[in-house]
Amino acid sequence: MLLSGRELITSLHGLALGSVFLLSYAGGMAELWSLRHDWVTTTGVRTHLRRLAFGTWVMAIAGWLTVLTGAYLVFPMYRASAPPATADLSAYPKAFILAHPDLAMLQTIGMSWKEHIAWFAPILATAVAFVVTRYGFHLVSQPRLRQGAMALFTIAFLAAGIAGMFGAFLDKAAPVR
Amino acid sequence: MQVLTPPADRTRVQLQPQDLPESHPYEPATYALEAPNGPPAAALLGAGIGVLVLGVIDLLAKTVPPFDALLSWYPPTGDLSGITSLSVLAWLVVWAGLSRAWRGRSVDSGRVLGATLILTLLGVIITFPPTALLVPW
Repeated sequence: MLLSGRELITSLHGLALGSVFLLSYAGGMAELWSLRHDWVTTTGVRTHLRRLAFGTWVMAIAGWLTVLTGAYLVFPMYRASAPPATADLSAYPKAFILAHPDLAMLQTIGMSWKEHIAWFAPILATAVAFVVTRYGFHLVSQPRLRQGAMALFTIAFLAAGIAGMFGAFLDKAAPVR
Repeated sequence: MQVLTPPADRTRVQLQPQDLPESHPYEPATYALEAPNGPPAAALLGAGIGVLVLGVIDLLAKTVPPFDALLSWYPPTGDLSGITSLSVLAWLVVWAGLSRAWRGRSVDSGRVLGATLILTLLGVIITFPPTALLVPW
């Protein structure tokens, strides 16, 4: 087979769900940015808000699915303990990384930060999606709220970006197979 | 510029998007839609607090072993299961509490936004693993 079951799960987590989260940021940010009273007509506001609500909820749901698959499907495979006296640690990524001092930082800094900061993304994205859905029309006349939504949206993207970057490094150094 | 007048039997608060002519630019100064900003501000501040709580629980788990031992709710995932579940729960409770407290009210959105950003950045800093080395206990 081209991919093992374990590789399919990691691909679903990082390549599929994680990518949807990161890609939907660009569209959502553009819509939030242009939701200004001097740029859009009333018809435009309605159209913007429909797209924006859809995009932000896609981002929030993708974020939750990414962290849940990461924490409960991928992470247990990554941190599984190797049986004593196992010489080949390639099936035990965490043990493999810690056994190589030049890679250990990927665990002590990379995975340690990634596993927690990743959860910021769906929390912040959900708050933004909620604000857009329930109070979207008022974001046009309350620029502070719109700026707040844009700021949290951007932090959610950066948090997911940090997690995704370390995920890619870890998968390069010690893939889950 | 055409000046729009709200229908006589409606207040400004009740005005809805469908009341506006299709082709006219959206003009809040002319056709202001005043609504309490408490609930959306609660969602933003609640997220900031949730993120900080996650950072603090993570820091305590890293530095207080007996606390860390209590967080392994799903052993294959280890303490991550307890840290994140507890944080998500705290976030939802704080959000619900703020929404209830600020329902129908308007708050200073600038201060709320500032506080949210500070809390979120603190959360980012606290979760950065070397920060645990600075903890005095």
